Amino acid sequence: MEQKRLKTVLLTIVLAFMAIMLRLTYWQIIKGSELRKKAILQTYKLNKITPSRGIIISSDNYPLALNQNKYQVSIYKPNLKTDLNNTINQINQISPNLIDLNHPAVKSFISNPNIKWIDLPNTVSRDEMEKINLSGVSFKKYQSRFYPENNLAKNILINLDSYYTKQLIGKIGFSLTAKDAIGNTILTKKNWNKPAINGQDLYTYINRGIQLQTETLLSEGIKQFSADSGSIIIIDPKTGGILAMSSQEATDTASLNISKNTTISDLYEPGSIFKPLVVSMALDKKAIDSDYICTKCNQSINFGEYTIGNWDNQVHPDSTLKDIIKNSDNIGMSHIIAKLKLDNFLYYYSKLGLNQKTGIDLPGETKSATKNYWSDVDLATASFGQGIAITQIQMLQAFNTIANNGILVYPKIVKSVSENGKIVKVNQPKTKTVFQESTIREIKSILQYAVENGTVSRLKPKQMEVCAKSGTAQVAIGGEYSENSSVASYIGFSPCQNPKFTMIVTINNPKTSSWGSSTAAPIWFDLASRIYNLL
Amino acid sequence: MPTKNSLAFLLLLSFLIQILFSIYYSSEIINQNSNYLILQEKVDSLEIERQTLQAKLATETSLEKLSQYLQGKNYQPIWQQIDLNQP
Repeated sequence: MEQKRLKTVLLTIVLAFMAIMLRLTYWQIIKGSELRKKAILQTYKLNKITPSRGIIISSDNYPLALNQNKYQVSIYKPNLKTDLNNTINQINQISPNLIDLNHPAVKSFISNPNIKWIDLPNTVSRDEMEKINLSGVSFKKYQSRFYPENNLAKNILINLDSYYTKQLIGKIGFSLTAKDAIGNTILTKKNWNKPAINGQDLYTYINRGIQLQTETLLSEGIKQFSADSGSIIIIDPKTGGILAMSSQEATDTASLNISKNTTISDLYEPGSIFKPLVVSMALDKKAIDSDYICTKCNQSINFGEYTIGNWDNQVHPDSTLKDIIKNSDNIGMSHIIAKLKLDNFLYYYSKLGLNQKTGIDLPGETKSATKNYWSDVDLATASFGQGIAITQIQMLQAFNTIANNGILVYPKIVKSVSENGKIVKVNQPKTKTVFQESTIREIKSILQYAVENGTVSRLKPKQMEVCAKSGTAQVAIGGEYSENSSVASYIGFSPCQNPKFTMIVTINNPKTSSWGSSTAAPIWFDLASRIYNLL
Repeated sequence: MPTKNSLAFLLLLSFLIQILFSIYYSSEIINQNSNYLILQEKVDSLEIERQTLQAKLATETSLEKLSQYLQGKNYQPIWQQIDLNQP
């Protein structure tokens, strides 16, 4: 009997032991990995480390775009120690613009007792956050862009932010740390940390002083000439670095159009500012020589129903190359391009990059579709910049080839990229030889002559050497040239030898005078004389 | 008998040492952790302060601010203040 009882006890112990073993096997082997994960989640904390976005710096080493910490404010009604209106009053005393009582979300949060939580639409600074120390009010930190120069170059900066986002954004880091019962970090050997890599900084060619002068004078010019809009680009002739760039529309405040940069996104017919390029092509190809005289310039040219004449309805018999450019002679240019021939024209057109994007480091650049058929009249009108569509940046790139002694250089905004103060990438200027030196010598002397003896000579400061050309282009609307629209331009560089800058000024549809020499040229010379000593 | 007593004493002593060591070591861990937390907060706060100061410096040296200062000062060209006829 006793033996039997002992056996029963033993069996019970063995069974109980087996049950415990089975349960342990279940927890440790079958559910083991799941429980381990749960345990890690309870005792470890995974933190995301947000990197700082790279900053954008001007050529004179001043920051143009920085980061600032902003704090989003949330209110949770159940945790408030005073009544909601009292809390709002207290917050308003510290940060008057934070709570917009007319905002629909704020209105319904105040009036509807069922809405317990609100993320306020406006943000506060760190100082304000520290002052608002109220129960039921919480803050969430986030980084936003800060532009110390306000609207200066803002269009470029916003677009650069988008174009270089990979470099600017950096890499998110993570840390895995053991935590105590209240969530504080505990130092253990198992803690793991992958630091965030801050974004790279962009060093641009943009010069603050030149950009400010550019924006100010363009805004004044648009108002003064009652124009619809306008734009200016200034580049360093040797590197192609953009020193200043602005496109503005005539609004009530003549403010910047933040979203669009027309200098790279809008196609236009350049008009007479294209003429020096065609003369350079003809000289370079030896289709004409430097002492060319237009013996057929005594009459307009007829192409079937089309007649090519001059802007002032005058003819200039026996014009030299200098006269043709000085008088902006369409008839003379038509004869020159006829000597150059279509194939050669298209060869140089392509070599100057006019049929492809410049590759400027901004989003939204465009180019015109390839023209497959060229009639004689098409070629003739192309000689004075009509019937071809390019962007202003393409025009400037091509014209700058003359400034840079026949070497084409592609425009760029960012000079170099740095990481933790070390330069990691330099945007080396990409170049291509287009014109021979003899061609450049000749065209520079023609341009200088045209400035000193043409209608703009009164605008030129005496001590300044300028090689430039004005242009007034007609605007095609619905397949026909409009009588009421024009694009006035002035393009050039200074000084003629070893130029400091190349600049294009474009004024769209000026009402006071349609001519480039009366609208774009005064802005060009005013700006040129102001920036000359800054370079 | 004395051997038994010595053994018990040693056991008790080692037990006591272990308790004291645990107390010391755990307080050391707590100190280190709280130091770590304080330093971590300082680092975060200094980084925010650095960014704030950088933004303030950039604002103070911005062209807009400089032009405001210049307008406020009413600078006069120096030749207007000097009588050039005086020897």
